[in-house]
Amino acid sequence: MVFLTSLLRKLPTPEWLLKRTIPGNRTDNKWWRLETFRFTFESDGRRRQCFKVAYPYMRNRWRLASRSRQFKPIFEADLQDTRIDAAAREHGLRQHTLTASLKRQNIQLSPAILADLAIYEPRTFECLNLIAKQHILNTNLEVIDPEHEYDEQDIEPDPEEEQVPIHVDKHILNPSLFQDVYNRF
Amino acid sequence: MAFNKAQQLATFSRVWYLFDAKWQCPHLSGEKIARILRGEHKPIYYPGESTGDCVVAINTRHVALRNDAWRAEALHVRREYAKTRYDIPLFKLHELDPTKVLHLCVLNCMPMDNTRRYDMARLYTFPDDAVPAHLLRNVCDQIRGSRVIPKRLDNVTSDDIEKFPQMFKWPKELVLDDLDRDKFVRIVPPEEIPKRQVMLGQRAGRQHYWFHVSTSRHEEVKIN
Repeated sequence: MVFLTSLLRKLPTPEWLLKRTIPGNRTDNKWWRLETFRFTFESDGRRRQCFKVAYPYMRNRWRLASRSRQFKPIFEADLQDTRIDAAAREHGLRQHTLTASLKRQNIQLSPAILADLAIYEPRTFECLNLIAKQHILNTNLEVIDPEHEYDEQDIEPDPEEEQVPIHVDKHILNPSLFQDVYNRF
Repeated sequence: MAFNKAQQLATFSRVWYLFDAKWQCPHLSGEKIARILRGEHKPIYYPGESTGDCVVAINTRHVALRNDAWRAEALHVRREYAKTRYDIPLFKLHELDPTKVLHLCVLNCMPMDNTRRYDMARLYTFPDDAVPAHLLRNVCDQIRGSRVIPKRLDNVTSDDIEKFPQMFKWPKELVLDDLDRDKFVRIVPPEEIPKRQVMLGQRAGRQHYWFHVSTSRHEEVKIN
């Protein structure tokens, strides 16, 4: 019975303590307040001492914690995508392209793993990028440039603006061409 | 022997980039620069931490907007103080501060965050080539602009003309002196340009001007 809050919210004062009090039962709120101070011992100042300051603080903190808990996987997924995109651009690909290519080859590495590899195992990540590039070469895979995915069809692509090319060469496995990325950002 | 310390320093150090804004679109370059300032080009990116790099932008005076934007688009400033309502067309803003157009475009692409002002403070813009030495000393790499800078025909050297491959030669009667601009182009002096007699369109609403307009010149000032 950890949470007695709903039960102990209003504890009636025992009869032998009532004596000369105003009519009606006076309730003892000690338990209720102790239950809330259990969660505010880390904070400072009046939040630790005064119930009226501590109670809304605790309530809001729990609300934000519940909300963040639901939001956390979404935030993490977005962060992983950004990190993979950043690391893949150093090798001439984009996250969109890399993910599509690996998926076609049935390499089922999740974005969480790919992001960790990109940070801590850069050479492994580079090899994965080369695998993706070779697959694109072999199958003429067409992945839409993610920036222009939602463009309307009748807008002509501006010839002056360079699209970020997927930099693929015929001699893709030639070690001297590993570093040759045209547009790093 | 562990080389991890050097690798760690190399990963977390702040790098200074140079960006040449000559004839580049400020919106597209703003997106690129904002990305770099924010640090989204690094695999170690985290939104709360300011992992971004510094950017030194030069030649912002020669930035190129598309179509009518210099005349048609404006900077709208509204503040809660009296007489601070300005709609400044971009050509005028460019005259007053040639750096501001690119700065605003970069600011537009930065998400509204606690770190926005700190990341924008890492951007240094200069209207021309002149950059202070202590900033240029830090710069170690360059960001490519999204536009390829074209070659102007009046900058073509005679060497290039001779080396350029020709499929056939024109008969001599049909060849005029090529690339001699003065024979074909005449710069029209301002007196010959037809003046509009009637003031068309809407007069400017009651606006507080940022430059002094003497009463006699009111008829000529046209701000939409």
